[in-house]
Amino acid sequence: MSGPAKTPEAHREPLLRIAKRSDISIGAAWLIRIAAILCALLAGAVLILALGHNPVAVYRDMAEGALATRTTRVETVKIAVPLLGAALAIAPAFKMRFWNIGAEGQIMAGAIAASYFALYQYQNMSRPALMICMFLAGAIAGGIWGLIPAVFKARWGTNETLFTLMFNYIILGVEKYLQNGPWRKAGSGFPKIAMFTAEAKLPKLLGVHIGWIMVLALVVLMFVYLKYTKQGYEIAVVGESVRTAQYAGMNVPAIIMRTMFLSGAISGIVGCLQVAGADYTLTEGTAGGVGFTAITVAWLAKLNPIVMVLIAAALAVLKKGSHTIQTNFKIPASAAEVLTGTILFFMLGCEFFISYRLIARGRKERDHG
Amino acid sequence: MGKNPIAIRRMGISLAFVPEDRLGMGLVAGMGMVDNMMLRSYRRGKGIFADRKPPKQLAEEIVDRLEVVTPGVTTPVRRLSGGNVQKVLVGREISSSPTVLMAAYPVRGLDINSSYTIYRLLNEEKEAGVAVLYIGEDLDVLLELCDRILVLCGGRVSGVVDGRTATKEEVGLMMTHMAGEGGRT
Repeated sequence: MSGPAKTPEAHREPLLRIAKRSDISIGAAWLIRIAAILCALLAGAVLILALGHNPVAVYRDMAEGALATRTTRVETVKIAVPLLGAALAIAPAFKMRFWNIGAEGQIMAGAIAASYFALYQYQNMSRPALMICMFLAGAIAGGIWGLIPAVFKARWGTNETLFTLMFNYIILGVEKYLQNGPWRKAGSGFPKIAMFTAEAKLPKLLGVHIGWIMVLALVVLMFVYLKYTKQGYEIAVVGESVRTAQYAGMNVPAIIMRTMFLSGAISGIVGCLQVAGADYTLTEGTAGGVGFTAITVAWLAKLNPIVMVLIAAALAVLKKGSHTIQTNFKIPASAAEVLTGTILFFMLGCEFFISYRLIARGRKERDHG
Repeated sequence: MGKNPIAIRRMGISLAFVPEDRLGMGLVAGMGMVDNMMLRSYRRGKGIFADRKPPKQLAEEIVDRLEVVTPGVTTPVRRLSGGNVQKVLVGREISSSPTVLMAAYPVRGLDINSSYTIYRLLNEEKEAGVAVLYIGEDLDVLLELCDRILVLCGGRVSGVVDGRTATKEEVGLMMTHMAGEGGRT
């Protein structure tokens, strides 16, 4: 009961087919990435032209605004530090396929805990002790904020994505309460928290708060931790297959909780850096979306801490540059964001062409991916 | 029962297990042979760092001894063919010199050649005095391989027979509910 047999001619090859690449040389991969950046700049240029500006001038100002002078470089590094820190925090969780999108909240939790010491305990201890207390408090608070969703996931299998996301809003609510209530600066018409005193401010090195050194040290530590330690190995196995981890006798709930505490604790330290190094006070915007942008950083870097340095730097340059062109060319903030988004889109999209290739119709391709 | 693998090891029983779902349970599909060899032994040694030298040696040994076809010991095992994946898994389990070796459908989805390699390995273990627990459905294989066959049907033990004297018909009947009433000898 078969229908008429199809002749080979009846089959039309699709215009483009997609084949998986087996292996791609590092050089070729970078060629694709460079091409993607060029495409991104071209697409951005179209956008800038549509806004009625000269693309070359806008790009030049972007680069200059982010990198030209010492002051602008300091500003750029200040943007990059929390981004890199939060991306490092996310790395172990994501490696474990625990989708922690709560770095934002964990940063805030750390920031609140550190602020308590900065605001109310500064007169009771020496400066080094205060600093250590702030960092410990930040790490523990952030760690607990990351641990709670992990406990629920490990015990009752709750969805960690929703859980960590919702926790962001809870801690933001806590911050607003403190800002409008108990921690509100006395005599201020606008609800805000007092500025930190000099004791609670992070010292500077080369013009930027010393957080940058701490974050760079964390890069190395995280790289070694994930790649060479037993715990790093456990994280990788749990991420690949929980059943295999159980088969090997690993205590999966304990690993999930331990890793999330670590992830939250690093975010908490970032929160501490933000209040003590960058803002010198606690506000609603202390985390400022860093916890979400860090997901992009971590993902673009394929969870490799060393690559994250480059990605965080690139994103910081884009962000600082877009601030500059907003003032220089009166480009609205939204349009500048579209421009950054376009460039990011190409950077993310080119990963597809690194993993797959397109083959046009009629091309004879014999070798299998 | 109801003990986790670590507790069993602490009791002094070296249990090796070849699960039926190779890439979903016994091995980590995205890791290379070296990292998969570590799965059983990574806790060994002091300190926080994992020692990758012994697993690397073990991986190379298994490649040589079991003729595993792979581009390298760090190639993700997902990319290997089913037979080679199984050789990696069985090789690792045997290398722990177990007292009990459990194998659940160890030749599921394998070609004839790889299947016989696995049978040969199981027989070698048997000769070395290892208690081999083989879970399978193929009657010919069961009769060839086993000393004793325990037949389960509908969640109950329907009989234990001697592998050397049992016939296919006998075992086959026990695998159905028919054996329950009058089939028992």
